[in-house]
Amino acid sequence: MSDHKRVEQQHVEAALKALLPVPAALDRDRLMFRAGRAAHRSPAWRAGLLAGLLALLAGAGGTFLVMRDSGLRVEYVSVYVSPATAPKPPPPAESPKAPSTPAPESSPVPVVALPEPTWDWFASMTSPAGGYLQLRDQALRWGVEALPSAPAGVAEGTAPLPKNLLQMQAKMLNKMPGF
Amino acid sequence: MMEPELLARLIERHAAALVLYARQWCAAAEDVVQEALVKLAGQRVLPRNVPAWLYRVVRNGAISAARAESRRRRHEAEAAQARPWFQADTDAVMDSETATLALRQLPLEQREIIVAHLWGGLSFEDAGQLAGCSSSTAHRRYLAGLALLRERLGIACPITSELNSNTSKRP
Repeated sequence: MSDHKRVEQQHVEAALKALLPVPAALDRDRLMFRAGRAAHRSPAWRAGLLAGLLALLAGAGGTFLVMRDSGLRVEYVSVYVSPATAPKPPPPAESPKAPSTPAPESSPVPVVALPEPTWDWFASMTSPAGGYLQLRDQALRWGVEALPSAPAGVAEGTAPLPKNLLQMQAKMLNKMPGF
Repeated sequence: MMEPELLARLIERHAAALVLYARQWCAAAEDVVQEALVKLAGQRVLPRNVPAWLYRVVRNGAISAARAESRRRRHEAEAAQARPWFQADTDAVMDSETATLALRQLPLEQREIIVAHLWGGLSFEDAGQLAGCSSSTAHRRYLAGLALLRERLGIACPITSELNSNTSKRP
């Protein structure tokens, strides 16, 4: 570029540069407020990532709670009682008309020994310390078979049943603590 | 994070030129510049060349705004186009309205380089990157635009005027 052209160019540049652009009609306060808010705003992807992680955690926790083993198991125990030790039922009264069909003695019949509810056992259940409500819930939930067996003494039937109402009341009061 | 003082300095130094630059495409230039400044404030790491970054964001925003404006009613855009680009009460040798008209008649590719370099203070390299061309092409467009402006505005070079007057005085 020749010097003459360069001088011409500089002259045009100077003439144009003397023109000042119209000042920007910006709302400065609003702009500073918005800029401050934008500077402190966490990025959207970070909030999304956090929400995703929390949702994943909640899903995993829910699946774990549903699939986990509850820890409470009901075990059915069958008690086989041999015919020799089993108490023999009293022989039915023979009637001359009804022919008796004797049961086969060769194969032992499995008999489930159920606790015989006696008065002591019942009293221990009704007392608050005996956990009657707990046993009731257990029976409602898992069935009667899940109830614990009665104490040995009770099963043997050593405790005599009350003969009248007064004896029953006295026995109940003796069993209940605080009376 | 951007300090408020830095943002205030940027507004002071570049806002008017950025608005002028955005007006090459759209009428809502102030909104575009404001959005660009807010976007800059939201940056975690400041760009290496802040003015060039601002001009790029303003350019993209102005082009998008121009697309949106073209869908609106036409008279609104025409009313916005009538806004002056330069201040009237300056000591400039030329009239601001005439300069605005002459600048508006330039091809856009020359006009944006002239505005970015002359009033924005960007280098030809930055202006070329903005326009999507090389720095030499940007310089060539700049010179061509200046030549057109000189013709249209009738800006007389003092040396040429002196030469012409000397030749006319000769018998």
